[in-house]
Amino acid sequence: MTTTPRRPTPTDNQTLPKVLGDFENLTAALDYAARGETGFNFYSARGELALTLPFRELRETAISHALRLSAAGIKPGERIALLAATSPQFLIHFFACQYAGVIPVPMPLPTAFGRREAYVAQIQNQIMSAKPRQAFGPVDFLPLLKEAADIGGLEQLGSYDEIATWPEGRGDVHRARPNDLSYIQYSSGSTRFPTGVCVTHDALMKNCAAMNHAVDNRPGERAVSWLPFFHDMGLVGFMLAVMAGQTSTDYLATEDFARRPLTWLRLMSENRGTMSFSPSFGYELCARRVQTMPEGSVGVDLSSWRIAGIGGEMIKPQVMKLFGETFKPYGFSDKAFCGSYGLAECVLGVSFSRPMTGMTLDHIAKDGLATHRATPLPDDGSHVGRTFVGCGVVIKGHKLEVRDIDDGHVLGEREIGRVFFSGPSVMTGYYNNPGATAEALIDGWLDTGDLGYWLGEQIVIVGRAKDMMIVNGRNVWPQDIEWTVEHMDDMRSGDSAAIVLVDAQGNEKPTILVQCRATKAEERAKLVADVKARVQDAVGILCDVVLVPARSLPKTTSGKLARGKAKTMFEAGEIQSLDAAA
Amino acid sequence: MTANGELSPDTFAAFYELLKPFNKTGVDLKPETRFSEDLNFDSLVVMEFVATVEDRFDISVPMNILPDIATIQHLGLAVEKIVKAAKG
Repeated sequence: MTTTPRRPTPTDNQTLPKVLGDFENLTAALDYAARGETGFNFYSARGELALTLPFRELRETAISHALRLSAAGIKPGERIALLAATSPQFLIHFFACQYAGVIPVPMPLPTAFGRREAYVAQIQNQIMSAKPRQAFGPVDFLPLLKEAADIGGLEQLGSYDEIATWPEGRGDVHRARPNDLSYIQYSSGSTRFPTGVCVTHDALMKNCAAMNHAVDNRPGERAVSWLPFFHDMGLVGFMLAVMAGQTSTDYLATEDFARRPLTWLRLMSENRGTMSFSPSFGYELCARRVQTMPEGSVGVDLSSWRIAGIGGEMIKPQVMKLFGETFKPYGFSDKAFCGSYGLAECVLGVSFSRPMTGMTLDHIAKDGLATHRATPLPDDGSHVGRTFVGCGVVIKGHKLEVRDIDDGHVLGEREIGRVFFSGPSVMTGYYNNPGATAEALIDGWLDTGDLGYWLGEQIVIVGRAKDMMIVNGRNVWPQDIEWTVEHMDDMRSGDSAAIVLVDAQGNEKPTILVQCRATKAEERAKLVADVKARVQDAVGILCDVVLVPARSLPKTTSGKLARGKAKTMFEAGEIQSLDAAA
Repeated sequence: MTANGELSPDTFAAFYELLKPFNKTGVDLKPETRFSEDLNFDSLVVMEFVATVEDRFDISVPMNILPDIATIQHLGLAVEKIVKAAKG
């Protein structure tokens, strides 16, 4: 790690046979992977190899750090907060915790200009929920961490480099039992009341194995990722599951991807990457960037890409089509698109499309939610409906059910209901939060809170059940309203939130909060009228339209609209309408 | 960055040029113009603009300063500091 490496870790191990996860615990998985030559590689913003961390070296360093943690008196079962930068140090400390029996809690990095207070509050809330005694991070971020720690009640704060100077203890590394916690993951819930998902070694290993089987991880597999480690898709999918399948993985830091998205594709091309995942927007960024460049000028060969996974948010079919067409001349096959569905409450993966089958598109009538049926329509432009993408088949050893929204009976093909999941990947609960746990886990089944339907063997996710609006006895999809608004001119994704407000007389009023950039009164009035008319036309309900300042609508850590929070904040006056503020 | 001091006219002029294609709201660009509130930068636009600044000044802007950067003045002063440090 000290010298600049000339070449990344090899794609395949020379003699070590591939084993697809299902180890007894996470350290057993790393013990096995360390017997080969594969590992992790870190690339600079310009796509140059900066550091390699073969699994063998990761294991050795993690064990020596584990003995330092133990010697410092940190006991198994205690929590340690780790700032989840895309760096070897984060991986080493995450695994050091595993070998010490300590429970790491990955924390997010800041991603926006000028949001110091919001960021510090988010870290503080996670610290207050997980109650770690220590927090560690890259030295550059310590001042920010310190601010959060001063209120959060931490005992110790340090840089990753510091731990390396601690004296190493003697003794054996910790051997976790299957039901011991491996880590706590703060998923994309509310930032104000964060809920930490408890992930056991057993659940983690079962999910890693099932995911590796679902994508058919095989010799020749090489992963590339820019996903942040504080998000389940990055942490589990491209740090833990790849390691559990001994898969060499090439990293680009998330902020470097955001700065230069095409570096992602160059890495795929140069290293003959076969597997990478992203939410729709990652594909969109690349496609948009290339469209401003002369054809053929990117100089990448994407023919090795076998699993182009899509997950983390509602899949946007038009965006994926754009990417597929844009990169077809570069050898990309749209058969590589792999729709998927997952959530941190099930470690990560729930369902995946079968490899190299491409996207399954389903065009259905817009009244799907009202009628509870996904009625197919011809997708030839003659009918206005909505197109959804199949999220694949449930991972092996697990079960999915779609249940009726009202009485909970199990539904069949094309009937829209609430999606439930069961099997060994399901979390044991939210950390220190029996209330939230009892709401999510019912008789061994996880209520995903999502709505979906069966399309043959595939599950199709259509939205969140918890946000559903009932207007005059009719079920209305807030996503549908928002989708309509965001497809108007000058509107962007995340610019609106459809909620139901209750007035003093107890009347429910469907309301759309719309972020407005216009400053002139007549422009604003026109926007209100346009939105109202368009929504009435497209969705069939008359909504109140309230203009709010740009960037005032809250988002989850994964960038989705935090609709529930938007409603709470608006009712509390934390988001003010532009008229009221003026 | 709570760094005080005046932004040099050269730096501001450079930012003025760089920001033109990013100025979707059409506000008058001044040192105190705010990226979020006045220019409506979301986190993806922020990163795209940071990349532009890095290319223009041939520097690397560390991520840990982002939460303290609210205005053109803040980013400009930070860039001046980085450029100075790079020259040694």
